[in-house]
Amino acid sequence: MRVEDSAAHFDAGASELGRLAQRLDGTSTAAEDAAGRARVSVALDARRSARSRWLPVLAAAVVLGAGAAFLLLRAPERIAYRVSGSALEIHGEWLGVAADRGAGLLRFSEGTQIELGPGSRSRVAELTPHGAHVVLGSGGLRARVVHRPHTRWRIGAGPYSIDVTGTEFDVDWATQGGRLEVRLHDGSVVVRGPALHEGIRVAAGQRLVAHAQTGNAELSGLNDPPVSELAPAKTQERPQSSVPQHVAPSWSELLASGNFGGVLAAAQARGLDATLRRGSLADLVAFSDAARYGGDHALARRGLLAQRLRFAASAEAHAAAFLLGRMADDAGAREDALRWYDTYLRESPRGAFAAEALGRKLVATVRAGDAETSRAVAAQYLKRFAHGAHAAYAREVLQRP
Amino acid sequence: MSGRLGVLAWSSAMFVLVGSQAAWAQAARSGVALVRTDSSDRLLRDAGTRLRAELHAAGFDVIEVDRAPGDEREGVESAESNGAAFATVALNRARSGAFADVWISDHLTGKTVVRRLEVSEASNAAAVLAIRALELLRASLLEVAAAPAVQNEPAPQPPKDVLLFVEPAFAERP
Repeated sequence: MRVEDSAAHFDAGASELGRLAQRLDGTSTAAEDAAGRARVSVALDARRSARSRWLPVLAAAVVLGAGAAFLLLRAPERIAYRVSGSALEIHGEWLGVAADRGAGLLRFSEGTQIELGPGSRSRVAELTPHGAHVVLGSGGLRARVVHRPHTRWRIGAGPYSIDVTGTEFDVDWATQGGRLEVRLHDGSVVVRGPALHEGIRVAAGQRLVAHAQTGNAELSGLNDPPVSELAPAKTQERPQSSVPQHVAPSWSELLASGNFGGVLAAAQARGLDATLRRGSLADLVAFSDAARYGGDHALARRGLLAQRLRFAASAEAHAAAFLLGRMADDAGAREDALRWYDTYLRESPRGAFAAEALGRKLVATVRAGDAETSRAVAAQYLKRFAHGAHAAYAREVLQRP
Repeated sequence: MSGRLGVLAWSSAMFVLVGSQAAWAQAARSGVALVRTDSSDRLLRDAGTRLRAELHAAGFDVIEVDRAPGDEREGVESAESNGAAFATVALNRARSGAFADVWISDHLTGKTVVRRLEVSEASNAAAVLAIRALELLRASLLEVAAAPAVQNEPAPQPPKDVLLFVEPAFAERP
């Protein structure tokens, strides 16, 4: 019903009420009726006048409400992004960054920035109104995600995904070996992946290193790695134009570059106890190797035992059994060596060092003068590794009188 | 005071002991020639770095040599080390990327062996390859080291540190 229709309806109602009242008591005169109708009419006019003043306001409210409903109900806009950096190379949907020309930069419309590290490869897989899904194919990136209501960002790296609501962090992903490293500078993220199906929360000041091959993951303090002491000038000042996660090499990287002394110095700076008790598996492996290469067998042994104690199910811990046997063997501790070789062969019957462990076991049993056991081990070796490096030796042992 | 004297005496004894061991080691270290690997192959490069460290830890000097022209066998057998090495080791990527070939030319017997080792995708692939290459060197020398004990005919006499590397018991033989 419109407002005007409603007013006419009130007028007709007032006349009808007056006639009805006159029929009921018969005391009112025509003049009184007219005066009464006039009073009712004045009252209705006043009401009509008041209603007409509200009409523009009501109309405006309707328009505003409709506008608000439109704004609320319409599909929200996806965020957009721009790429910059002279080092960026676009290959289809992938953004590659040249290894020697600084970083590339993704600027998103809501303020988030992602620096793509030198030598890295990334792509923006999805854009939503509340964030984006960025895939790191290889290399490193630094993300500065702006926190807003409903913010939802995801960084993918191989089988891992990193869910973000607002934070600053670095990610390194090595496809060879499947190693993920996440370093949190602000906020927190949740990382999911192999053996991390429920997700692991990484908070500010923490570092997660996860290995896709083994499913191992180790959470440690961001400031624990003493690599910062090895390159203090670089870690104290982080230029905006470069991606900082590459300035501090990991212990594994130091080892790969032949800087074994650097690994031991770094472990010393962190503290030997801290390294053995809280160091990541990758760091422990690098530390043990560096100590072994440096000829410090006692230190190497402690590192290898820490691997076995703390990461018992890992392939590295199994390999440590072979290395412990080898070290005992070379030191003349035959019984210890045989025990470790047997441990390795039991834990990793098809492991990378199975042939070497059985071959060394054969030599050790021959050295012990146990002819019967030696022949049994030689036969076992030839059965498994007929063309192995110790095959000729095993045949010679079997031919002995 | 007596404690300080004890520390001083112990330190002096250790200095003399370490010094004499170092001098012996310097004098006795045999050499292994390591053929330079393809630097563009990260696995081989890392494995080469580690193999060099493994050989040092085993008590040998490492002489890096360039690959000799020719096929892989000639490359390792003819690599020039000026006679300073008792063996030459080379790491090559096999045609299939999942394997690496370890070539060892044993100058004591004149034998060359090659083993094709599977290379995993694991992060420790380079370390594994280096250790397996060293173990292959040890095993290939086992035959010559053991020979005097099982045969009466003349056999090449490996240096004592090589015998120690292969099997300490062999080095103790007269």
